[in-house]
Amino acid sequence: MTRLVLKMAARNVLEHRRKSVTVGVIVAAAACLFTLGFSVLDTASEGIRKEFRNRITGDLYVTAKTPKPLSAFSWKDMNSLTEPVPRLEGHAKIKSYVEGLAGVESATSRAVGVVQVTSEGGTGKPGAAMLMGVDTNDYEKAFPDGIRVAGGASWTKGSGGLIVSDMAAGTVGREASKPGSSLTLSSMGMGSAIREAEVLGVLEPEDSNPLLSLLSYVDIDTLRHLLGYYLEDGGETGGTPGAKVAPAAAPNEDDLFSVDTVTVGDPAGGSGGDVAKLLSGLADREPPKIDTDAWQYIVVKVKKGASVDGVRATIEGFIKARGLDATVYGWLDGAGQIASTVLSIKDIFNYIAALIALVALLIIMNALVISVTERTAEIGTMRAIGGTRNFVKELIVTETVLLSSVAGVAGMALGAAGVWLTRLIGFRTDNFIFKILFGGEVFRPDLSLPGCAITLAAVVAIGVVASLYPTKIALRVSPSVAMQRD
Amino acid sequence: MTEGSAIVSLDSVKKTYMLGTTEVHAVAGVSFSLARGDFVSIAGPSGSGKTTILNMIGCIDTPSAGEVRIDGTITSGLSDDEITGLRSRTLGFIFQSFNLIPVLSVRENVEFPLLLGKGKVSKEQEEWMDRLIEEVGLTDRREHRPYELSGGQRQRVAIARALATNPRIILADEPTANLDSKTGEAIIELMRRINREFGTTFIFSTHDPKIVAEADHVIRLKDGLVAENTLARRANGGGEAAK
Ligand SMILES: Nc1ncnc2c1ncn2[C@@H]1O[C@H](COP(=O)(O)OP(=O)(O)O)[C@@H](O)[C@H]1O
Ligand SMILES: [Mg+2]
Repeated sequence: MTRLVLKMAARNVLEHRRKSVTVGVIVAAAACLFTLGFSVLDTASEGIRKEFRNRITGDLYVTAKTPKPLSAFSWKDMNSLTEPVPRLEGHAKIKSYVEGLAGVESATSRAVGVVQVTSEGGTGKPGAAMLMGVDTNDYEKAFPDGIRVAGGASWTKGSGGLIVSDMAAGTVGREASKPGSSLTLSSMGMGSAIREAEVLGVLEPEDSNPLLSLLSYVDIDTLRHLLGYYLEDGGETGGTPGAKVAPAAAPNEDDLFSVDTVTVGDPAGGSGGDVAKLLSGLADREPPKIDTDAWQYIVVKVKKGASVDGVRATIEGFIKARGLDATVYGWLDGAGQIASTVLSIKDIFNYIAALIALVALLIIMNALVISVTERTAEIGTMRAIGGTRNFVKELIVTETVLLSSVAGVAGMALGAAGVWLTRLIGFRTDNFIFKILFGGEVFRPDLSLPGCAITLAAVVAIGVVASLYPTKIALRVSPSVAMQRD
Repeated sequence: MTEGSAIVSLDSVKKTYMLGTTEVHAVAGVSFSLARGDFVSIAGPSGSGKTTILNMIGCIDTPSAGEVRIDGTITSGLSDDEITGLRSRTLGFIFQSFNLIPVLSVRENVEFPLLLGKGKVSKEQEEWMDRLIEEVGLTDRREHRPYELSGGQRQRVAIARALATNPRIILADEPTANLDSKTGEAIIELMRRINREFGTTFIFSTHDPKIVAEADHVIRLKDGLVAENTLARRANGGGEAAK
């Protein structure tokens, strides 16, 4: 492209004002919208990814292979929430392998079970809790932001105890579930086991993340009791497949849990005394030994800069090579519906953006065709006095790309200003859907640099593509039109 | 005048247009030769084929039959790029409607054909341009845009532009038709002066008898045929029929 072409293109842009304004406004509006849209959605989706990654799902998690997919704390299918999550066989092997990988920041084991929470002599109703069993020694090292205690405290080194969700605390009763008090946990689903646990703390309400609001946390051994993760012969530890013993709280559970005393959804009705009896009865017996390698999940955080997909492939390779019955999931699988919704909103926006780009393209093309038609004599003259076809082509493409990129950059600047302003003021919302999407009541978008890059590329591409057809028309202009003006 | 010395020659040139199903014989078999350095007028009423002939000489249009030679080269069969090259090296154009490029100034319009060829203008070309602009009397308007100029001034820019590449032939299709007669005469005078000074062959069409009278060589057309082919020597006041 010569200086001549650039000069003429620039002047044409300035002087064909109607065309330039039409095209410019459309391109600028599209670029502004793209910049805003990409920024809002990228911020929202990145916020959601970080929230889930940092607080619960990690980047990857390993579970047993199941016919239905598992989320990071249950089944992906919300209707199956109460079905027990199977144990991860070969946990120790996988974990030590994963921990040894260069790209891995942390590998954390977990198990989860749905339990009923009741309070002895409490006034509230029995609540259900999704109980996350963790190694209290190091869980918070790997997930420092995972557990947000509003009242009370988290575990002290190696201690046991329950950190109850705000939701369960509300159901059971605030008084009954305040730190220091004791709650009764009983397993739901097949068979029953029962456990007393001291409340250490109550979690913050999770308004902007309904999934997290389901979770309560407990030391893993308490959960293992509730899930019946005992060693068969009471001796060895280690994940022998046989260790998955049927619910084992008591030799004769039918006698111990007469159906009307402890059942799901039962109002607080007088279970307390029975439970106490039951517990004292159990104390007389030789307690079965807990299987300390019984876990359901290994949650993996990948180091910053390392490739999540790479780590995932490595782990999958290991599982396959060892013939282990395990699956690796990504954070999005673990995050449930909300995160996928945000990502599908992103997809929808991408489609809308593509549609807008297409419409803009057509309008611009039309404006260019008109402009070329109006300038047939000029084009013919240039051809007659020595302008090659290539020169005409360059001139028209340069003109359009120049216009669309200048307008595009202006639109992007406007969009960026909008992002900056929204960031400054903060977009406040009471709407719960927006709260979920934006991860809180106040949303402050970041300018999406990939979004800007895409926008710029789109704008240039629109310019080039939109000028193809008008260029073709211009190239058909014969030099003779310069002559025939009489 | 022999075939060899002719800068332009037409041999049995025909041009037929299809208007729907009817054939229009815009040029119905025309032969003539033009000598280097001549000031040639293609005369004739409207519709007689003047523009068509100029277009064929200018390689803007191709004959349906016959041959056009420019400086010995037969133009039919040249590629688009060869033709563009020939046009920019050998031919200059002046149009009835001036056809300046609106976004370029006087100087830039004159410079335009030079930049098309090379992309850059040499020192000598700069001086040549300055001389041309002076020659057409627009030195004080060199930075003006076409819309700031009168019709006569615009046509003078067009003349300077046509001369920029120093072509051997300048084709002008009714260069005075959009000008009042006084301005038109001044334009023809300017063309004449340049023809004498630089030896450029001028071929211009017109239906204005006053302007025809200025020419050395008149080719008068009627219904696509040559009705008269006269070499006029104003110096000796007479005229002779061309071969
Ligand atoms: N592109 C064309 N299609 C059809 N007929 C044409 C075309 N160009 C010129 N003609 C016809 O050819 C004849 C000669 O036209 P032209 O060379 O323009 O004459 P002049 O320039 O002497 O007025 C006219 O009858 C005109 O209508
Ligand atoms: Mg004509």
